[in-house]
Amino acid sequence: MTRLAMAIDLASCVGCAACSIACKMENEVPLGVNRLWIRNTTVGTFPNLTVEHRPEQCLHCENPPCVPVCPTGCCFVRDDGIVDIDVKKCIGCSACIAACPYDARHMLPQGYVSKCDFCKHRVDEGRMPACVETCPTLCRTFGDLDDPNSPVSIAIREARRVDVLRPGLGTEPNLYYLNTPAAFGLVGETGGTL
Amino acid sequence: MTEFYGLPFSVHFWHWPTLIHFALVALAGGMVLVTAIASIKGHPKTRTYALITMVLIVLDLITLWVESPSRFRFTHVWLFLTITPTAPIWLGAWGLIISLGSSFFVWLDKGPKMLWNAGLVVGAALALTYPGLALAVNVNRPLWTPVLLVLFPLTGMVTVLGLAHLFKQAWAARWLVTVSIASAVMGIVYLFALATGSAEARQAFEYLWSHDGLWLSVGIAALLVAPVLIRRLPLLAGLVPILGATLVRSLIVEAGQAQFFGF
Amino acid sequence: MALGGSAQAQLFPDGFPNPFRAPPGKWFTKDDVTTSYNYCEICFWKCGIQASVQGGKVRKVDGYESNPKSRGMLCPRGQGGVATTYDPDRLKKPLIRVEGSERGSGQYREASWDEAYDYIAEKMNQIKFEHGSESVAFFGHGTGDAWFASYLPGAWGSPNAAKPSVSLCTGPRETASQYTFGRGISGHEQIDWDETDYIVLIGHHIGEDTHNTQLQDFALALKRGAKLVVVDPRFSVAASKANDWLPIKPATDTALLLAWANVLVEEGLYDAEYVDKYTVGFEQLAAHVAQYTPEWAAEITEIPADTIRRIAREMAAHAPRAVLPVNRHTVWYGPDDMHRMRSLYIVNVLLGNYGMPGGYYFCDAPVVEAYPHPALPLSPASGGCGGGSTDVVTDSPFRPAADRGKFFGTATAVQELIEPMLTGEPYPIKGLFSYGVNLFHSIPMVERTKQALKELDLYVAIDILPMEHVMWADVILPESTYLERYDDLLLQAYKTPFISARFPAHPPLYDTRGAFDMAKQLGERLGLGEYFPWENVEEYLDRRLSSIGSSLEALKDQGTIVRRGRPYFADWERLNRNPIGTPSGKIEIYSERFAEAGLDPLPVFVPPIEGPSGMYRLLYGRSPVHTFARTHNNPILMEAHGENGVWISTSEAAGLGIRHNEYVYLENQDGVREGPVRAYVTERIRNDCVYLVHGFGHKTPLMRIANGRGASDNYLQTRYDLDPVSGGAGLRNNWVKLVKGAPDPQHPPVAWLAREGSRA
Repeated sequence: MTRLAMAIDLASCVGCAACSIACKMENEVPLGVNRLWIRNTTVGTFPNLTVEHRPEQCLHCENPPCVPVCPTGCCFVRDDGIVDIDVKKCIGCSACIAACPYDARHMLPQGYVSKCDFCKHRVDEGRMPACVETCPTLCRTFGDLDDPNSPVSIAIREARRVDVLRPGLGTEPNLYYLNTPAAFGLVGETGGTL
Repeated sequence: MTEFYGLPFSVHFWHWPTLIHFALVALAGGMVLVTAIASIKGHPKTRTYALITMVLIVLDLITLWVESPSRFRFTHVWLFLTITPTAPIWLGAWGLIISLGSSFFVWLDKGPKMLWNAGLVVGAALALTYPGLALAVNVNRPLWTPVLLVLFPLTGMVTVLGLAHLFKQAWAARWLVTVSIASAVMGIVYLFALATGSAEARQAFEYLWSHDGLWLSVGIAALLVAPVLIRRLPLLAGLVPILGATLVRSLIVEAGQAQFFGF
Repeated sequence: MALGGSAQAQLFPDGFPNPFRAPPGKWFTKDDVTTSYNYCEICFWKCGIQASVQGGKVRKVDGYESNPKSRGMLCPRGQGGVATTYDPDRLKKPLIRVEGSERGSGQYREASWDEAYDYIAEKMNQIKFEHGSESVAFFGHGTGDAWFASYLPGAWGSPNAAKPSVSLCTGPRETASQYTFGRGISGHEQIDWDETDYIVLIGHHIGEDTHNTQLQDFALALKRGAKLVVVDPRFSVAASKANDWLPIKPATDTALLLAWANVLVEEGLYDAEYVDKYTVGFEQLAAHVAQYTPEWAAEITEIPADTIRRIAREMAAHAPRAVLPVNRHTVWYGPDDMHRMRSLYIVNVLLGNYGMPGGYYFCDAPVVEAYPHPALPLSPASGGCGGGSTDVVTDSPFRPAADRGKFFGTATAVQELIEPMLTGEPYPIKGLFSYGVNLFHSIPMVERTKQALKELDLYVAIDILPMEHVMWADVILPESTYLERYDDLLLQAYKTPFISARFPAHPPLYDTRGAFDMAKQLGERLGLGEYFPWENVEEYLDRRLSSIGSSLEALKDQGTIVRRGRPYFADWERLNRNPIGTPSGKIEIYSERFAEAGLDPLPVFVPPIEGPSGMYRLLYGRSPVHTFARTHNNPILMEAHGENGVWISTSEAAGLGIRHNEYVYLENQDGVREGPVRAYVTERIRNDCVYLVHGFGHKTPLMRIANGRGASDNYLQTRYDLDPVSGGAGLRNNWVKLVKGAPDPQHPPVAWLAREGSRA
């Protein structure tokens, strides 16, 4: 089995948005919406400060809440774990947008829903997603979690700390955040103030 | 403090046409139930009710078509070409179609009546419950709690009973009083459960209360005054609960789109 | 679904919405995708890129592995910069200001290229006749500045060629490096990130300043476990990665550096062997820095003496793999700048890292012969990121540059060439070329610049967008973007020097030309044809490449040719050569040349100029998604970061009653007002300064998206302090106050503006 996953090392990420804009160009994401964005959050008081630079996108959950609520079956999970959209079936009902706990889905002006698809057209050719390829801090790794030698498996294994977003919802994301700068984990998740 | 490069899609995805749909589907769903009961009981106005049901369902479907961003792609056929029973909208789509078909045959007064009655019962169950279900499945949005599974069918019935009362249907008054009060109680239960729930629920309650607290109170109060008015001011007694129920539903749909993630 | 193709075709004739057909595929699904090599021009790091073209449009650019600068990666600006080529607000035809209209009134008529060239040539010859060829000044920034700020003025005979990348940016570091090491720093800061274990950044905004390679190296160094110390009044992005953040009082960095030198010397922590072998003047330094104790510095910098000592000891413990990287924009406080840069180099030298693994490496540009041409009558000292030479031309038939005598260094200072336009002293400047230099968003004292422009007989602007200063010109020459034009070879000094070429991805969209063509056409009309002997750009590039046994055709498939470098002393010693170019042949800690010129031979601390009370020192910096003031009409980049905010500390904002995100005005010490601009109330800055991201606050409706968003730091810089050594303009000696009551400008969404623009 293939289980595609991504890991983002927050100790390296500087929140520069190269990934976000590479994604925008690669996938012709229209102005006004984003498949990938950066959340930069400051915690603490002068001079004891922490800034978390956190790119966010579709987490390709193992247990995606968006898929069961789709009334036409246009939201589905590929065999390799990519949570995908069959746009010809999309009726634009926004049920999946409502179900996504991460605000990762958006409506396009053409009337169908869109989101990060791990650049499946690249992955199918054996290339890395555009965000992974462009990242100047090399904070992103991508690959097969079931392969212990894939870059992402190695990165997760070697990380000081591994977190996922909103773990309480049981979505089991396949996007992992490594080495959070704040000792308590992801900001806004386990005790950080926003 | 947070700043973004690019923004998540943390905006409202359902707008005022959707609120109209939620109001119409309440009327339609409630009317299907009324038709079902009338048809089973052999009520003399069954055919009229069936016609009204059809009109309401068609109005609702038109609203859905108008508000759909894919209205000119006609992809809605996929609703009926796939089997996705986990999706409330799929259940609702079938509920409305079954109801429409059954009402049509009841209105025609042809064919196996038992089948049409069964269709109306199933259709009513689906059409009345699916709006609340479509909200409650989103556990990520704390304002859309399981209480809505009860609150939405009840408020839906209130609108139909109010309408029936306005049109002087004798049987409506008693039910209107009961269902209105039940709705109001569920409304209070909904707020109470939020206000005493988890930290996230309390945060959501504060958001709801600070944004819509006044109007929500007005809506619940409107549901409570129906029994008081029912004898003295029959016109208002019909109208006020309709407005109250629609207000409560709309506010919950509108405000509930907030997701308290990282803001 | 089992509906067959033919059944579908019957049901859904062409053009009729078909619920069974997916919407049209994206660019990468099409079969007409081609790629071409280029180097990015969105900032001047010039990463090697590969442009993917589909349907006559560049859809995506990517880095490529074999290019040492991009290594297959790219920053946000490089990724999104593509959209500038397709900006509907671009300059599309040559424009000539309507005769009789005033400069700045923005009345133009379209002209042919021939008419524009003839107009310029006639005026230039007239200026030459009346005032001499030196009276035409040339400002340039970007790849084409080789033509407009070096070659053409050299052929024409004007020493008044200048680049803002010197006196408004790198000047102090370059001059300091020339007089300490006898070498420039070069465009790409020569830090040996691969090997270093301890990094001390002084106001160096890595992360907000997304220089691709540097960011990669920085991230990898941290990943390897290198320790990081950041000295900055602001908790920068780099500071967020640091083990230690020293929130220094602005303008006191030199005191800190001198105290570090003091600790290294006093505690015997310096690399004695290195100092002995490679330097001169250590004894004088030791005596000199005895006065600069950590306790003395603590008073000035507001950093505890213990911390200063601890960091110095940690540096020494990691030496020579400990480095204080030189940053790029070093014109901060004027007279202090040169001393700060010299102190920085000296601390590095005491750590023994210059020319050693983990410190500073040596780099030289790869050698490719010039296209054979007659010797130019003059070689203007316009410098560049790599800095000017220290040679003073004595036997030139031309008058010296009009800024001569104002400062010690030799590279021209762009801001000092404005005054002669107004005063005619030492001689009048009557003509001006601005090649890609944003006169109103880079040179301080904007009002003075505007007055000066009114005095000119000829002002030519070459640009891509109708920036404010462009719409003051007599003649506007629209340039093709980097995706539409050839350019000269990029000869990059680097650890592995390399050669990159630019190939147009598609023909120009509008009636635009590259700097290459413009310079040649103008040169021919000015009677300088002999200096432009090549037929066209392809022939020029091919001839140059043939000198290294390559060709334009070969580079088309290759993109980059990588050479071997000589990064360390050991590499040079093996060849019996000395990389140090000072007269003594050693690193000059003590500068005899400075002493002879009456300057401080060793760095001293110049106490900062203090501002009026109740005002904050205006600091400025970068956004990771923008370059200078160039990218603010790019919808993709503007959507990511659409307006700047003024950073102010939470405590100060509370005192002023200013809320986060509230709109305020900024008013400087001379009463100049900018804004409305959002207040960015944060814990991340000291309470004696405020901070703005540079480049916002454009004031031209012709640039729909950029117009009126945020505040311009440059408009608030109504004074500067000249560094008497390098000629750099210290820009951070301006003070502002925040004025409440600014209206919310209610900027329309970028998406809406972009749609309107493409409709117009």
